[in-house]
Amino acid sequence: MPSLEEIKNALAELNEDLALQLVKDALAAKTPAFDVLKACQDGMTEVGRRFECQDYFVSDLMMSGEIFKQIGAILEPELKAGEAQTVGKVVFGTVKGDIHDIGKDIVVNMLKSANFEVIDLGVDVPPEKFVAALKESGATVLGLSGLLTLAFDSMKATVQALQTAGMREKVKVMIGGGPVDGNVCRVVGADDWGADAQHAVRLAKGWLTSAHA
Amino acid sequence: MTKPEIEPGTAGCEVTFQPLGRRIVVTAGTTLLEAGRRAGLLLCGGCGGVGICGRCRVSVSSGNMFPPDEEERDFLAAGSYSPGTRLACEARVASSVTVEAPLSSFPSGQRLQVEGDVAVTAHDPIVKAYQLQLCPPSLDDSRSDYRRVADALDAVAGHTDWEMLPGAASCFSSLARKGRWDLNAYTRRQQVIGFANCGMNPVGVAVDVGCTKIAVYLVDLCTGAELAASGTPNPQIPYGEDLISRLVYAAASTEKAKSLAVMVRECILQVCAKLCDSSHIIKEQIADICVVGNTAMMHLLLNLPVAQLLSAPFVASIDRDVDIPASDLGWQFAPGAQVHVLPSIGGFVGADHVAMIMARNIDRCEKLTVGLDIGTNTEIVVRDPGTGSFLTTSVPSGPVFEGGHVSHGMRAASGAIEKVYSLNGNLRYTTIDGTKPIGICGSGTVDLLAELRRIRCVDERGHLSKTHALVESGRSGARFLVAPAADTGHGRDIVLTQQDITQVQLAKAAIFAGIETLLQLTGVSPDDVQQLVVAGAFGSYLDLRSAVSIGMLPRFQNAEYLQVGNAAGAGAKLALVSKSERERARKIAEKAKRIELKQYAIFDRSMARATRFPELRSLISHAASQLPVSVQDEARSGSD
Repeated sequence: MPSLEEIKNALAELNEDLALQLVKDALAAKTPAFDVLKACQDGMTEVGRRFECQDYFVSDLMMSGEIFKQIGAILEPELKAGEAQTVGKVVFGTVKGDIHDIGKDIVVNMLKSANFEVIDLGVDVPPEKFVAALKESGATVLGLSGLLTLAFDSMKATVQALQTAGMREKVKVMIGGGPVDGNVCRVVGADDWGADAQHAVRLAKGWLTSAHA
Repeated sequence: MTKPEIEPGTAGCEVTFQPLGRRIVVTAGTTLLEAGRRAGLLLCGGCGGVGICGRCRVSVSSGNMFPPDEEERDFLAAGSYSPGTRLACEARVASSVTVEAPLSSFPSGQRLQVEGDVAVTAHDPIVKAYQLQLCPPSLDDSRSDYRRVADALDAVAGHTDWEMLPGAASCFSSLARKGRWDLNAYTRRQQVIGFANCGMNPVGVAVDVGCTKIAVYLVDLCTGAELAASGTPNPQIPYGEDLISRLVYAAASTEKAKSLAVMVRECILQVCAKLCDSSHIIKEQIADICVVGNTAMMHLLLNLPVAQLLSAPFVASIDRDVDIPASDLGWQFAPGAQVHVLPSIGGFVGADHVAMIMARNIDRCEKLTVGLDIGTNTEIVVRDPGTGSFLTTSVPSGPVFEGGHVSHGMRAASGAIEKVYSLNGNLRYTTIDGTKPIGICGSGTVDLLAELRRIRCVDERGHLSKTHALVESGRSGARFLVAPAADTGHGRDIVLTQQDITQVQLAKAAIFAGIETLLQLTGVSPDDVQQLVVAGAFGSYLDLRSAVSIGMLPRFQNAEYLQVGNAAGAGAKLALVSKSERERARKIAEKAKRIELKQYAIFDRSMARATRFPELRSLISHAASQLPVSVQDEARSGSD
């Protein structure tokens, strides 16, 4: 029976075949799916840490996201019964007029692996769709992604749509993507901005834990 | 162990190929394959010079060659060959050399693939010219100009019911009333569209509007011969380097869209004027124009609405072929000159891709073919003649291969490092025009990464080895010193940073995953692929061997790799001189199915995996075990 430490390490080392095999073996040996998930999340946290230390790069994050996605698909049927407790809900998407999704997918995967429930609306998402998803899910964090400068207008329009819907106070908004910086954040009217996936996870964690306190 | 260093290549090695006696002067470090290519000899074996098959064996009878690298030694060790035997695709010249290269020894070595090597077509242009010998009007013969011309045409063209454009009538009158009653009438179907002096054939213009470069060709419509050709940078570049940002600019206002349209139209007109001058043609001879380009460029040229192209599901305005008078684009050529824009397949898979498919016969070929045109967007086609499956897609590979998103990247211009190779673990490079380097262009970047892999300075994940002598740690991460300040044209270091490598990984992974996904959707395995065609300007400078070794292109065991230059331009020329080719283009656009890769999870998975670099020695694993450890190997154990 593989130890949880081995699973964590396989993921942290981005060893796809090994990680998937260990997860299957662990389930076959009746290790609780939730514990396996926890080990994988720890592995992803380690990936994030190495990214911050510049030991890992964007391509490594993509790879880890893909491995995590596949593990998620294996674990999902087993997890239903246990109903894992999540840190909180985040609505995420690339804003209207922009279709870049590599960065968005990385952040979504990192958030999921950090135990967030992520409602991923995909790319080219109009403001009203973000508002509807926030209403429906009750999520209190919104992540807006965009690489084009055109995306800034859409980000601004999305924040305004929140205002119009009377939800601006209840929802924390973070933005991210290639050219996004503090200046853009101010113009757009977002609460904060993330320079990379790890940064985004920290922001969401900070908001959701302080909200509970 | 010697300290690895990069040295600029030196010039002036004459390579003589026997028994043909062809000679060519190349810079030291050039492969025999490349030297052969320049001398007009295709010295490749089964794979097309990608270093897969090991069959392009030649014998060097005199002169100095750089010693074989690991891979070549492995190939040569696998058989027992006479001394002097080398692989043309791997062996690099160090001095003037003589090479024994009997062409019969090459399974597929017939001829050189040159730019403009196109499918043969029946010469059947829409615009035809008829030489007329007319009598001036007299009291006995007071027919109108129109009637006079129409009657003469009836006699020579074999049909009646002519129509004459008012502009053509003016043109006729001004020529004839200068006393030139013997003249050439240009016709399009039943329409008289222009006149010229006897002997002045109608001329067609084929145009390929690329995101970065515009190629223009003048073709004699009577003979089909190419008269002149020229390439020029797309003047829209300052308004967006990649096509998305350019479309965003155009979508902002009708004035901006219009200005981009005018800009590119004027540019084409100027190139035409220049080409006319150099080939002694007057602009009134230009009677037909055929244009291809990607969907975005065609929309901008025709000033079609673009906002809907910018967001999913990326709907084109018009994807059918378009015929409009040249004067609508502000082009004053023969009075009735028309512009024909080839149809597009859908989304960003545009008329240039249709033209490329046509020029390379991919729609008719008996081989399972993968075709691609690499640019900021890379178009890919996979056609399986067995099942008739015909899939295309466009992947956003980004501007990396055109020098964008890379710290010291630049376009392929004077001073760009265009080629990098390693000799005994030392990296060497050559620059365009042989000047001191000022940056690295796309082909150089691909070569550099392939070599960095080979000398084990970059591992499978793309991480720079921090223990390598030429890797330094900067504030923003590790970087590899390509050329020190003392050697460069601008007195600053030229480096490749870890972030640059990441950008290359994302770009090459997109292309690889696009190909892999289309093959999976076609339902064939990589071993089934029989030919891989790389078109486009960048594609013809790219070292395919490097592209395969960094995992930008798959390693197809049974395929021939071809670099075909501007196939889109060649396709435009076909459609220019043949009605049936225009019909064929329409059929290609109907039959080829566009795949939106984002709908397939296999693409994401394939792309994440393809960001990695292929294992170094996978291609020669059979021979590797028999070899002693290389003494010239610069690798440090554990650096991977």
